[in-house]
Amino acid sequence: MIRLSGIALGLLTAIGGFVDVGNIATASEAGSKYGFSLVWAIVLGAVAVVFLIEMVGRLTAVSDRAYADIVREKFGIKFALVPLLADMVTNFLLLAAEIGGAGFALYLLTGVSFRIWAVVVGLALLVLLTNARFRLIENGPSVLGLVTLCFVAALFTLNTDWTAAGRGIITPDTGGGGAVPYFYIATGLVSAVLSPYLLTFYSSGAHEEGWTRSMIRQNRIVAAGGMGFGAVLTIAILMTAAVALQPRGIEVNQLQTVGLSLVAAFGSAGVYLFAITLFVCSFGAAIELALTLPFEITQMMGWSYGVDARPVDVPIFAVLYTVLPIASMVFIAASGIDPLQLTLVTMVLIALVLPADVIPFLVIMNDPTYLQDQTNHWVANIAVLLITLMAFALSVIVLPLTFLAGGG
Amino acid sequence: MNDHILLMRDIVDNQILDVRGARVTKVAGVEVELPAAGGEPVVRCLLVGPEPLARRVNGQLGDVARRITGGRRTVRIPWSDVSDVGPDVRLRIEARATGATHAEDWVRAHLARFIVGLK
Repeated sequence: MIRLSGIALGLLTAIGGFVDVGNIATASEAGSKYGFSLVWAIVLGAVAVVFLIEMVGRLTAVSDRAYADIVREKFGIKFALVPLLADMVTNFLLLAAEIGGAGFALYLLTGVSFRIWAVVVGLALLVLLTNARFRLIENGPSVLGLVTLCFVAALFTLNTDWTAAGRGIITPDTGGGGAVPYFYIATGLVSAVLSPYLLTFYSSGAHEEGWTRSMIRQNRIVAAGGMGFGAVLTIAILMTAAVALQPRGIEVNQLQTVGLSLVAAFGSAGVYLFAITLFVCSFGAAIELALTLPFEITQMMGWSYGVDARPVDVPIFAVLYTVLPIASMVFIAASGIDPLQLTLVTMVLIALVLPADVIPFLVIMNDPTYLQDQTNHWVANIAVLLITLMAFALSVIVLPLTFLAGGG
Repeated sequence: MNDHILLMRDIVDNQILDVRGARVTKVAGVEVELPAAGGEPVVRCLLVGPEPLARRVNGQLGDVARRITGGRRTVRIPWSDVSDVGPDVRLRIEARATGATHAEDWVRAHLARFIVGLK
């Protein structure tokens, strides 16, 4: 029974915690502009994230070490700085985007500027991080995140033409706007679903819970089932936009336009449903992101860390998780950058630095020093490597072309 | 235990744990002595601190770190204080006795103790 409830909780939190502002922004923009034709990008990202989460859980269970600790040990300080510096930039921007997304949700409910709400959201993060225990932080927002299921319900309310959807999924269509914007959003979608920050966060969570080899099977089920169904939610977001917005010629260029697909399905209640979904998903991801960089830095430097420890016992870790949300909050509130645009650019940047995270990780996953008899199957290596390199190659091509053409 | 440790693999960049198993920091380098009479090099101590760490990234960065710290922040943990190696480097003494916890001590004294909360 304990095992079963563990699996159930793991599945629920993996599904509910899957969607964040990145998924919402990229999937709805994709659906509104290109119909069903970008589902393939979500599928690719999902395959990669299922493999990656299974791998990092297995690594932590067998080696009894957190992922970033191993990167430093195996590759040395000089090399470890490469993924660390890349993650510092992308994590900071993504945290700012999530705070902006949560602030935007509150703007939709109140009409008060999202920049003011971003300050409130940042302070709320701070209060939660300095008071709540890890179990609550890890599971609470994820369970609430199941509200994302409203997008699946919307698909049925909207009388989706499933045959047309099926045809659209297998027919790539750049919609007459050219290949660059199409692949720009495709790259963003792969990154949003893949969420490489999860490597550090998931591994740190597993390590704090003291996983052993007995967790390998449960981890496999949660990774495949939870991340798989999470990807289905992202596909549902894309499809609602494709069904409700694209035929009306509404393109998602601002976050509030995303909500229109739920309005089409549920009437005025759709506005509230969308605001709540956006808030829960963004805020939940913000909590994870605010802890991810502190985990990564303290693990690489060999310092003490622990979400449930008193700040004086894990001083650098605690200062990092208080300073980081404030810095990101100030960045988004002071600059007033549109959260949707920030999210999209950050997603493509994540694709650009993806190899710096994934390739060293794959090397570790094939090292019996850490994995003993549990090293990777070659299929997993090839799948993750190909998807990573593809996302990277796309980002190298579309980023400069997009900025030359005048913005994202 | 001193016999066949591969320094780079088993010691440098590995985790230092104190006698109670608390995380201290990671090994930035080692000081090795070549006996005058010849024979195998002998490890004298573990190096910890910003300067030896920066120097492993880049020589010039090491010089910068030396200028900033004036060489005062480099800590040597004598090999006699090491009780076990592989994969972690375990010490016979407590973390605070090593002097290698300066970064965490400074942050605790000047910043972390002002963080209020229920933890």
